[in-house]
Amino acid sequence: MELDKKNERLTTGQALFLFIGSMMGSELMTLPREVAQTGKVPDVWISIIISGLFYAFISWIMVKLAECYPQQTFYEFIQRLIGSWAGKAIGLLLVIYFLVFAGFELRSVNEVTSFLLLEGTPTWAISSVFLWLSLYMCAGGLFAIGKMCQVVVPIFLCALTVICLIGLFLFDSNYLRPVLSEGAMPVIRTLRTTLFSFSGHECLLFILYQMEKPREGRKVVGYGIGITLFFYVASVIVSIGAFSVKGVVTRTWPFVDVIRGVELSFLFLERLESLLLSIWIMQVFITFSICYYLAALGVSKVLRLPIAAALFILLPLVFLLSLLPKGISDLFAVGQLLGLVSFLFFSIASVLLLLIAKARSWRHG
Amino acid sequence: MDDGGKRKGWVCLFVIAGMAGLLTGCWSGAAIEDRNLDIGVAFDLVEPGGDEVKQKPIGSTPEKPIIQRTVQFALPQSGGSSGGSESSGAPKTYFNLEQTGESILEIIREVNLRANSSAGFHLKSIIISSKLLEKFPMHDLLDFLLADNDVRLSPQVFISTGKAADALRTTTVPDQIPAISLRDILKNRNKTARLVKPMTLAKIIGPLRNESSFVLPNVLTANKQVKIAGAGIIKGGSQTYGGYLTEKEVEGLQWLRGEVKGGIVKCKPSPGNQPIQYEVLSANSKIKAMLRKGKLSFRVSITTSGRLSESYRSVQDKGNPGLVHEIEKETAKEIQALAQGTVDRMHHLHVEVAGFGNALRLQNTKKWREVKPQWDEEFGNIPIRIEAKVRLVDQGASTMSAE
Repeated sequence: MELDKKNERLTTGQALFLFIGSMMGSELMTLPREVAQTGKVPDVWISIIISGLFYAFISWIMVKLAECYPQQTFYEFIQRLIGSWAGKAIGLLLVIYFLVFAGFELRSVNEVTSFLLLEGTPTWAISSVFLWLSLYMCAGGLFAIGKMCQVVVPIFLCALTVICLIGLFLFDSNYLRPVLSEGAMPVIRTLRTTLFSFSGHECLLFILYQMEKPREGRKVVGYGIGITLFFYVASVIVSIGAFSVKGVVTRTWPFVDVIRGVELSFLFLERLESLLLSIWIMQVFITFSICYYLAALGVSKVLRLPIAAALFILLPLVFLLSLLPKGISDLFAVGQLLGLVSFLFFSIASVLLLLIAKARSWRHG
Repeated sequence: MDDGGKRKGWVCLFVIAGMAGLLTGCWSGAAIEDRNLDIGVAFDLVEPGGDEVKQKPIGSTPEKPIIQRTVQFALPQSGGSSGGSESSGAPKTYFNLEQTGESILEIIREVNLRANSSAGFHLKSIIISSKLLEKFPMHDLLDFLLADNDVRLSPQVFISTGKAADALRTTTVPDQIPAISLRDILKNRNKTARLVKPMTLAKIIGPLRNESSFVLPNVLTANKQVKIAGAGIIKGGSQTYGGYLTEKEVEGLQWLRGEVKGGIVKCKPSPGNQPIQYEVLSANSKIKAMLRKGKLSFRVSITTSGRLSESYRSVQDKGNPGLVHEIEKETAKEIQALAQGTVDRMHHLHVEVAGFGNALRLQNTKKWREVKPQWDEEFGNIPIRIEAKVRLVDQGASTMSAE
């Protein structure tokens, strides 16, 4: 923790962009296909809204929980709540979760870059730049990542807005109408996918203690979930409006295809995909770094190591994990699994832990 | 202190030197004059017994239909010099390469043996012959183009009732590149009603996967001139060629769909008089599906406003209310006739591309599910009433017609 000693705290804005950055990573580019696959109707966006509301609630509980232990990360207060050994075990499991998450982001970026941007560039070349830069940034602590988020995330949100506007060239509202033509069942069925697409929201448990004004955690949750939800819904509506539900299912990266389907002859650049994909890579770098940092934070808190050492220990592990999926369908399966774990563990754990914390403080008067 | 500063300087130097090495160029870079920029592609069916047969690949089974692919490359190195005065020796700005095979990917690999490989796809136009579409469904032909990472989804797709490759050989204006000028013709939709809504690869994905019918602009070449003439229909279920719409029928189709962006309607207000040109400013259409006692019928209401642009009539006040009314009525009749012609044609071809099915889907989903499986057949028995309403809002810059 030496590097965190300087009394640097996250502003509310930085915390907000950290929160958004950890949720919107590689998910966004594939989300339209995944929900269309499960839902098979154009109304799947309703399902995303429902999940968004659910996560607003869960995140609010997380804020409450973090408020009970204002100076500690989740790794520390879970040991106080459920005992040292059990807390440490869960902490290490979380480290694994964040490592897999980081590996997943790294691999996604590799897949997209080698497919659409840098065909022929070897994986190690793309990964190594990513890994070493991230290590350097994470060594600066959460504050450094927060500052980076403040720069990258707003640019990314602008890029997303541009993609959605480009999508209007292909948009056909007939693909989205009539709303609820098959009733509410498909919408509920799609929750199976959409509930898993907010993984990353758990970073709240680890960043709130570093905030300048921890009281504003609720603001972070409200705006963070709101903005994420807006772009998730927009990406799904734009993709389905362009390719129809059955068409979206056949596109591997539907949201990228929206950009690839339009030639803007009136702009100085006819083709925006290279530009927008580069911005997207910066965003995935953010998501990756947050996961990588949280994993290292876990190692350093549980095993009482300096965080720099933890970062170096985990570096090769992340790279190896990113190589594990055999193909792109394996990769998407990992993404689904991460969503499932995030949904099950963090939803249940934060509710339970909040109850335990409240019960204890009540018993102590 | 001084020593530390020196060392820092050295580190800086190394970093800068390393950076310079990395930043000087993209490792996978290729000089632009070495690249083959393929900007257009045409697919044809090789007729058995035709003169292309000698190109037939060895070892292919005779029963299988053979595809001929013509790729158009822009030649960047000669593009700049073509403005020279020595017109006889002016280098061509493009080059066509033909290859036959049984699948698209097979053809592409074969081309690699014959020319330095194309660096990537920069396609502007894709032209598919209607004869080929009788043998191969659309999704088979486009499968490779939709899956490849180098192909964007932005090229325009055309159909050709003639030989598709011919469209890549000529341009109406000399010295233009056929594939690019072809695409640019589609930008004239606000001036003529005879161009159907262009379809890019991205826009085809929807109807392709939903198995709905759609139309593509039809390219014809005659007398060394290229023309968009009418449209070709791709049938929904089978995704094969479903028939041809003439230019008039395309106009009617556009009126039915409310997609007319410009163009003229010729009408004759009173018999024996010279025709009058009605220029369309805006157009709209509404299709209403009606279900009475289980019997389905459609009502189409077309509304348009426009301008009286050209009339070869004796001196007469173009703003005269009586005349305006007369012209409005006649134009409406003309539009109605155009639309009716297209409906008849669609009935005849057993295919529906005007959006009636979509209207039914939005207005009565239950009934739509019932008729959907055999929609193209069912459509032939459904009565359709067409109404048109014309409003003349403008007489142009002169209120009197010229003498």
